Amino acid sequence: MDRAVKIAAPQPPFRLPPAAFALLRTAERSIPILVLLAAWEFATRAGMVQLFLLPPLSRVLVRFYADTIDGTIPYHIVQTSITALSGFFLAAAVGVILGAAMAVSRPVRYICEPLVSLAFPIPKISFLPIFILWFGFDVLPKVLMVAFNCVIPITSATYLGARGIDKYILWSARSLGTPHHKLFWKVVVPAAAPQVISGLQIALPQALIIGIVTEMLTGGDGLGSYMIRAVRFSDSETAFAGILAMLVTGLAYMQIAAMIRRHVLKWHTEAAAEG
Amino acid sequence: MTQLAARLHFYVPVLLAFALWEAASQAGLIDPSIFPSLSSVLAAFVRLLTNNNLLKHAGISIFRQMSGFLLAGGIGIVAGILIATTAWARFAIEPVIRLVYPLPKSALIPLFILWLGIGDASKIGAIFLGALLPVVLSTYNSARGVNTALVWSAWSLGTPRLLIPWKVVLPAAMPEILSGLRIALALSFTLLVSAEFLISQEGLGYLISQLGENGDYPGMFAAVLAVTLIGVAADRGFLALRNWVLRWTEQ
Repeated sequence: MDRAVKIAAPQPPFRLPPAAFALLRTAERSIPILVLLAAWEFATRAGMVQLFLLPPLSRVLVRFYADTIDGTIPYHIVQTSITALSGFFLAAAVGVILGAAMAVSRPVRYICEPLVSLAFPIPKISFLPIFILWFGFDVLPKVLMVAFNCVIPITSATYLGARGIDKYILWSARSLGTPHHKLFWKVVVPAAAPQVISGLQIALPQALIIGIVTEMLTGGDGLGSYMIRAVRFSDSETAFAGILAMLVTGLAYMQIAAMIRRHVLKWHTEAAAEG
Repeated sequence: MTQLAARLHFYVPVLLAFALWEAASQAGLIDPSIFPSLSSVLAAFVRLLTNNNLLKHAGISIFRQMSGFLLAGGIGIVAGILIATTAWARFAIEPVIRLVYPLPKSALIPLFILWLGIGDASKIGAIFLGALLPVVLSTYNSARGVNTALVWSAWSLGTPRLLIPWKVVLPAAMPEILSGLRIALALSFTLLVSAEFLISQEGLGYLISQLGENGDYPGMFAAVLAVTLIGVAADRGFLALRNWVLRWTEQ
């Protein structure tokens, strides 16, 4: 009886406008983060941890702000980005060409497949002393180290993407009259694009990780040196400001990469959303 | 046997590359003072085994890597499943993980040196935290995608509610979890070697930089070769383990 009445007169459900809903969701998600940050500040102010090990958040923020205003942190972010992005784009150029060549040519595949498969799991950073021996202490060994790390995932993603293209797409394009010389750019490249971009998105954080490690190890400029110098001088406020700067940089890289992905893959509804 | 032959055949180009390396050295095409020949590297490898305690350093490195990686794997899978299946964990942990995830993992090495000094603990800590995030996220993402029909069926067939995450969701998410673990495994080696390069008194990273500083380049190449072999062996071992764990799936 009760139920029948309800079905007969349904109430329009109350719905928040999407913008308000998104705002509430963000607020909800930031609660645990704010609690953690408050606990950090409180515990350090109350003297529950050694200030040397964990300086109060407020002091880290003050240092971060001061070093940002006087240009130190932006300078090091730019230096790190020059290393990481040079290596990344070098690896992207080599990796995409090599991966595509492996997909279309048997001899290239025969030679490169075992090399790529072996290079995948090796800790490539262990080659750094060799790179320094060969290329000196300047920015070149860092760039090449980043490229060496990034080229493997990009190559294998491109290869798998280009190999995995549905044969029916190629056949349809051909039967609909796509000339042979246009097949590659008009069909193969777009069809492999989601996987290639995924490979690039895997490689980009690695570029940053390796760029920062090489800066820690070889000195020079950049976020890695900025932070390791602070640790050597037991200046933990600057060390934490360095971590914050690295987090901001990493976040910016990921956001920009996701934006580019959405833009490039606009036509591909599923793939644009991933990653 | 034929499988083994096929596998060896697959690696023929690698052997060719090594042969090319040795031939170029013998022909004097590459400068032996900065690029020692393969034969001298192999000789140095044998020398390191007897004189420089290569095995001791390797053992220390593997201990650090395995401790960090196993901790990260165990805690990461449990945390990922909890975030995917319980509201409070999703509320409390997920935003923190998402916030910290973009941090370049190498930032953790100096942090742990600051906190835990220059011994084993700082390396294990950096490897643990660095490898933890990919494991948590891959577990969470795959557990979230588990077919709800599986959960409902298990429930209706009488699986206790508390056991569903571990008896149903975990096995169903296992293929993707193992992919995340494989990425974490490679990352753990990168962090290990980086940390040992940066500051250490033992371990393979220390051995490499020590030999390099002494100008013993064949030895340095041999130590790099040792790290390479361990990395490849760990990955191939992991793949064999994965195939065994996933033997029930249709792959």
